[in-house]
Amino acid sequence: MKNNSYKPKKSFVHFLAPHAGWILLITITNLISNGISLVIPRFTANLINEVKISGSIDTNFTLTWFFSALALILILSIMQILIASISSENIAATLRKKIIKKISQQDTSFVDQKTSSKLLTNLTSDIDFIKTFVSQGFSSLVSTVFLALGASFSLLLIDANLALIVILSIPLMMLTFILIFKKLMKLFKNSQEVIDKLNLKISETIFGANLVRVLSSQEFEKEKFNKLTNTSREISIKIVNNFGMLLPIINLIFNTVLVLVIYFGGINVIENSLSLGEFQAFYQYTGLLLAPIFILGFVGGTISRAFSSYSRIAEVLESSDSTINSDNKMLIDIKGNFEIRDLNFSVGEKQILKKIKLKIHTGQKVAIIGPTAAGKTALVNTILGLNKNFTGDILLEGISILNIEEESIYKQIGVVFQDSLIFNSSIRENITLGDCFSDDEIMKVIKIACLDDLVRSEIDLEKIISERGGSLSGGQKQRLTLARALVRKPKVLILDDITARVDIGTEKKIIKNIFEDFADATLIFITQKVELIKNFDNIIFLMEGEILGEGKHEELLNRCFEYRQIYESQRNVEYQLLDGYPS
Amino acid sequence: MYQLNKTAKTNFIKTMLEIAGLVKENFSKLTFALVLVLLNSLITIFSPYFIGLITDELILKGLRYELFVALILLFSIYLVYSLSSYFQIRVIGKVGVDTVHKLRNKIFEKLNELPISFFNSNKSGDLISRINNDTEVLNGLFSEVLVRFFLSFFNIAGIGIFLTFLNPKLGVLSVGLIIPLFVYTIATNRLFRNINKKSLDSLGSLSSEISEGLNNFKTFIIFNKREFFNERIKKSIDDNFRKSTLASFVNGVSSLIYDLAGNLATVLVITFGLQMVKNVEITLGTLIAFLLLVNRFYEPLKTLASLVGTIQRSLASWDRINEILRMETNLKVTQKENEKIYSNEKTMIKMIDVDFGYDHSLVLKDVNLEIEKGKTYALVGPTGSGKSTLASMIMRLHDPVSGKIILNGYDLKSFRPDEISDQIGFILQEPFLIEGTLEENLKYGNRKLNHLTKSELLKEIENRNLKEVLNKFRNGLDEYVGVNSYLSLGQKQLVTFMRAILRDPKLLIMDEATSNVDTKTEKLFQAILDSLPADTSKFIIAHKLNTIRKADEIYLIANGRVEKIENLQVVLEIIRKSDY
Repeated sequence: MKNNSYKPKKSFVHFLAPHAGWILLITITNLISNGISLVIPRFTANLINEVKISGSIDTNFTLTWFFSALALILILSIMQILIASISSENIAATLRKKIIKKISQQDTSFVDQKTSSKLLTNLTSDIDFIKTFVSQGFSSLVSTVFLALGASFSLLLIDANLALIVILSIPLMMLTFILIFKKLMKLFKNSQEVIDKLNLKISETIFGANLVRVLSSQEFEKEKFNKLTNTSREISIKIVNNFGMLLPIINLIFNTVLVLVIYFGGINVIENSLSLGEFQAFYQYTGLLLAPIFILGFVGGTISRAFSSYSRIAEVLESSDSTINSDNKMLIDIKGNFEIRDLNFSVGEKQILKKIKLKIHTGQKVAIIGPTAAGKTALVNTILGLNKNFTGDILLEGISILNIEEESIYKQIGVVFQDSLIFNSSIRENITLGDCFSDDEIMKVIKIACLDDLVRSEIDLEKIISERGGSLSGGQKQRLTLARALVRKPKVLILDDITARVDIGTEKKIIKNIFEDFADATLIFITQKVELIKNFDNIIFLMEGEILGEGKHEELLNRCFEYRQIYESQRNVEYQLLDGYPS
Repeated sequence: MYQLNKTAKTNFIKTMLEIAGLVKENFSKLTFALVLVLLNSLITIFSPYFIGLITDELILKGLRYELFVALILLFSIYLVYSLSSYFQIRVIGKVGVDTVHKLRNKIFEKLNELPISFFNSNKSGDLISRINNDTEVLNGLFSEVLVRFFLSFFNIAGIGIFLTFLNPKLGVLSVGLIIPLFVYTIATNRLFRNINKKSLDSLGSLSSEISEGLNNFKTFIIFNKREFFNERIKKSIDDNFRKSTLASFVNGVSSLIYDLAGNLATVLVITFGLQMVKNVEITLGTLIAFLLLVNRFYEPLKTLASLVGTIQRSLASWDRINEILRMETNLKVTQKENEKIYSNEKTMIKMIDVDFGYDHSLVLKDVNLEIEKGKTYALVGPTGSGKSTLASMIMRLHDPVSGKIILNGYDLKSFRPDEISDQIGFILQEPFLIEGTLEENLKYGNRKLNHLTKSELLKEIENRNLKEVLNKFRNGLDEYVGVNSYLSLGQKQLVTFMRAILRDPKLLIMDEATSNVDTKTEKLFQAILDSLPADTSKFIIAHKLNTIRKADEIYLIANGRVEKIENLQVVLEIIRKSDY
């Protein structure tokens, strides 16, 4: 397994510092509640002593005392539970919001690289482990330290030599802890990484549910999943085995110390250098000192889990913001003037765009055409600032897009991608994305996008669409995302092969509508079909990342052989229908 | 019908039995571990007495040698203790891990068994949460809670019996509280479980919100909606905060009741005990012994109380898991008829009076269609008219509401899914590639090619004239085509096309399989399709009319009706006349 352990820049303590108040509250209430839980047994013990000595007790006094103590305990405990629940859940919620905020400031490539399945684990189970640590682990840690310090002090007071045996055993136990926890932390990290992979596999099975059924590849899926769960199982068993080592070893050290204390203490008693009372007290304090260390064994799991989860979360929280450094970025009014100079873009060794040179003027209707994998989508993504590591200049209204606020670009440019991203919410929310638009505005773009078959009236806007638009046809999804872009009345429209899944008639109508209702807008239209773009102001023919030709349809026919070839191959019955196509 | 998230209706005992059923085969291991647990608890209980004995009998009497021997014995006992706890942790831990492992695999298998409509009613994030988080909660139940639960239970029972034996009246008094506690547990079970379930459900919907947000991240950015993304998920986080806080509060308070009961028992014993001492029913010594034991009784009860929250949470998790496991596919494979119900050697698929619809409205009505071997069929029609739905019924992704589909003379329902997909190749509208290389994608789900080496696969590709398509990928079979590959839709369609052809289907269904590829590639595809064996039937759904020019028969689908069209010219006529 790949082990690219991330070293957080900020320490875990530093990270939790903003929550110190809450953590302190949990710790204090936990200590109080632990203290409370000792009251009743102690009281009973005293009672027994009293009865033993005096032979009788004051019943009324006892009962009153008892019931008031019980009532107090009840009230305090409920308060403690309330505070602990609220504060630990609050920390979890705050951390989650912090991570989400961080992600929301990143590029798409961030989510692609970190993978959504890993980020999901970060936001769910990694946070949960930190929550467990804060709500239980930390207060146990604190009470352990208190108890251990107190007990060692008492031991030293009674018999310094004997105390040495006990105190010397502590580093030995610590060493065991450290050795095993080091291993455990690595294992915990591995186990979280497997969870990432499980997430990925499950979502692949769900998103590819159609494919799995069409190919009957259930066995393949099962095999792959079993492989992952087997890895997860092996790691979990290693974790269990390490715990299996840890607790008995600590126990053995603890008990050996006890035996030694009894032996040497006993010898001292025999030699009269220690009184019996002191011996018994010593013996009891030893128990007090070592028991919490033993508890630490249980808590230790929580701590190391929290630590390894923290380093995973830190990796996200400490990555640099890719967008929000707005020092020299400006807000501009976009009209639709683009200039691209010597644009190169590569993914790995693969050069996707080569020396692109291009000018687009306000209000122009520009088409980009070219074979599969020509780089059409990459070109518009780069113009939109979605691909960062390009070379060359992309100027919008004469200003490099690197210096323009993202807000300016995305508020004024409307984009429709090839892959229709649909939300599991109402049609209305899929269009508005939470912004305010009147019903009239929405119904108007529904008409423009020819979505009337899905939305016959305003009532249909409230229809809920299933996740990833499972209940819609491919063409309906495309038109829904088109409506989403149009409703914002953008000054520039970038449409990436949006009519691929729409029938000829509808396709024709959509383009006609856009030409009429968005006459002033700059249009960049990616397509495979020459006939659709004959009347465009400028056609760019792209092939293998290079612009092979540019100009109006007639010009390109004469100038660009490849364009002509495509045109010829498409000249058939289908497109004759589109004669009289609007301009 | 496949909607999850209904509230739990099963009762406490039944659920407990169901969960116990999960570890049935590990019964002997658990018994072994339990014996070790008992051994260790005996050691814990009796070692103080032994040490007391050492103090009184050896130290006080100055017996050095005997002290040494006794301590060696004590050390050996502790050694046994450590060894026994080592095995105990390993055995129990392994049972927990194995159970989770088994459960995860089981849920995953179930997911793949259920029909497509299941995924339309449920969110992926929630399903992921059920498979990963809820099983992990159950792991806690097996590895930690189970043993401590039984141990405390034994202790309570043992001390209870002893107390009753010591003095029936006082015994019943102190142990009697167990009964109202039990009643309380049963009575509140449903309420607490539902509160816990709501908390887990909200974690599930938080996961859904997160994964949906992340999967659609590009949309948020391009619409300048980073804040909206943020707010949407924040809303879920807040909802989860409220529900989990409530659940953790309720779990804490409900365990407080057990605590309280223990304290109450002590008070009762003291009050009545002293009364009895006054009435000379018992001696003071008995009362003291009683009080000591009642305190002991109280300890395991406290342990039990601390487990209550975890148990409630586990039960709720089990409910969430069981909701999936209980579901059955509605696409059952039926018994094959003895004789063909339709015998025409030439016919591969026949649809007779097929109706299909969602909810209450029919999308397709009275579909009658016949697909003959070796012929090419085209299905055209406006967007959203039900073309994909029709095709997916041939593949049995859905069953018709009424009517019959016949494959090779037998009812389609009588074929196993793998028998159907061995014969029918289906290129889906949404090209879906699995994470990995081109080679992995081409082999995926293909039982014939799965074990071939690279060069053997290459040969198969050449045999089917797919070499030219493959050449469009720079790194050939090694090309990475996963999430981070920046493949365009058109390129993905190249992969899905190759994948389908490599399966040698008898019927190839192409659902807008070439919508995003260029004309040249489309022609290449056409040539490859023409070179398929003569008896291969093709069923093509397309908007580009040139892709269906070569069809032998054309069907038009509109307003839920499917009708056969004589030729392309008529199709054009219809389109011209329609109100587009």
